[in-house]
Amino acid sequence: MIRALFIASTGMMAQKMNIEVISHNLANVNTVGYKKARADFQDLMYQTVRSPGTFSSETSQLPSGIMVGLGVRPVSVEKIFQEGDFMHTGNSLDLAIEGEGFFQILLPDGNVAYTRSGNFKVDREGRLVTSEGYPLEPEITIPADTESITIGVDGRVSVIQSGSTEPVELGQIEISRFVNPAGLKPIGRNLYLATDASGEPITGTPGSEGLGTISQGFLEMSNVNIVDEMIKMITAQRAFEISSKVVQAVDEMLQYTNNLRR
Amino acid sequence: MNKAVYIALSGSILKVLEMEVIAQNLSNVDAVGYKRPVLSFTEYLIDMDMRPAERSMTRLSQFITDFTPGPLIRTDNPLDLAIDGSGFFVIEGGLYTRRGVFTLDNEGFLTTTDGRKVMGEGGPIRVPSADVVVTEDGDVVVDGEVVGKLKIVDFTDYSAMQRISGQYYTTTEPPSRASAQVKQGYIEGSNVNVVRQMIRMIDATREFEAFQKVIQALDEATAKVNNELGRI
Repeated sequence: MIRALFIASTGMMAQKMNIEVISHNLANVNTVGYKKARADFQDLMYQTVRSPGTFSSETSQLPSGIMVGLGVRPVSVEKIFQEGDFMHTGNSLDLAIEGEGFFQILLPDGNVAYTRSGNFKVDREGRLVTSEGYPLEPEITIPADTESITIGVDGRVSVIQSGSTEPVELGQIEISRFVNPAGLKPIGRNLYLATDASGEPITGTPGSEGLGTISQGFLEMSNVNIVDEMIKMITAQRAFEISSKVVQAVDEMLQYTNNLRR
Repeated sequence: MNKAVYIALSGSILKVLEMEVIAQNLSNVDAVGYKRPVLSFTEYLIDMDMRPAERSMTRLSQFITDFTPGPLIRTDNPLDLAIDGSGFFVIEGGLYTRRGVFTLDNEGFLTTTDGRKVMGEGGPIRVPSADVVVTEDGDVVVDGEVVGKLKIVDFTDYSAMQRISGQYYTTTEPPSRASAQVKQGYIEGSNVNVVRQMIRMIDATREFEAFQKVIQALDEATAKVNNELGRI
């Protein structure tokens, strides 16, 4: 069969994946702390039809060979960790990290996950938890008779309890950063796990060791840019279409061949 | 059997090959830094017309890569780099590429997305933080400190460039230092021109059809000879 058929199908599959990534980005356009993903493509291996440098006659050599590429493949779907817009909410448990860093979240299985999404809540024991109820690591427990909570740029959590005017310090939020954040493994729910590719977490208090600082009352919104994604969607759809046209053209060629013998 | 049928056959085979190249180009229409291969067809037409008797099998004369720059697309991602002008990034293992979609590995080395280290003037470049500035000269700056300089090279003769999967090239030519500028936050799109490829595709299918018609006509002529001339 004509190779062009299979080459065109790799183009269609790659664009299908591209559309999947774009639609995931668009679906998360309002997700707090979401980081957009980008599919990246590479051309596939080349099949040598004629090698360069072989002799075309007794005295002459072929200056270039014929190498037909076999299509395209997705090589990575990379998270782009650009900062999203900060939105003021006024909620004292909404935290955003200005600069590099991730909040550490303790998963039920004992592993630590990382997130940029800082919309924390208080559970019935007074712990700061994510919307899923996973506690912040190290744990911060807010006493029941708290009137107001203040979280400083360095992550220091202090509260004023009822009947008192003196702030009580409860602890300090620690955040982590990675040499290669793009190597983190997204596991959904805005959480990421460290991998071999991301490197070991560099943990510290906000503002130290190149880590960002905490802004209380702000949320970091999704970094998806709708205009960008729409343009990418249009090009991906058209690129898909054009590969399907190749399939059509090859089909016609095969039809002529099949009609040779009547 | 008439020799002309083999001429038409070799023409058809070339059209199939051209179709494969078009399919390859169109499937890579979105691949960063992709350079389209070019087939040369003039020679093959001369071959067809001038020496049909002794050279009935026609061939492609040239298959080279068109290194015309693709469009620069702004992404604002600090590790997306594009070369403005002619030149190539040097990747470990003697590879050259214009595909500047880079990332960091777990030790902080600048690598391609398939994990090959990007070479600087003094070996691989180690970047301590993803918050990096790359100047137009290729200096990699983190927190105001130069941590490396990208090695950008160029070649006098592109025809010896061999294509390798992944938008990489190798060559036996000695590299020289390129004067091109590095643009941070940009990627170089594929240089495949969709309109031209579409027209070429229509051409290729129709020419293929024409060759098939020639084969059919020759077949009919032979059938006439066999069936009618023999009849008394």
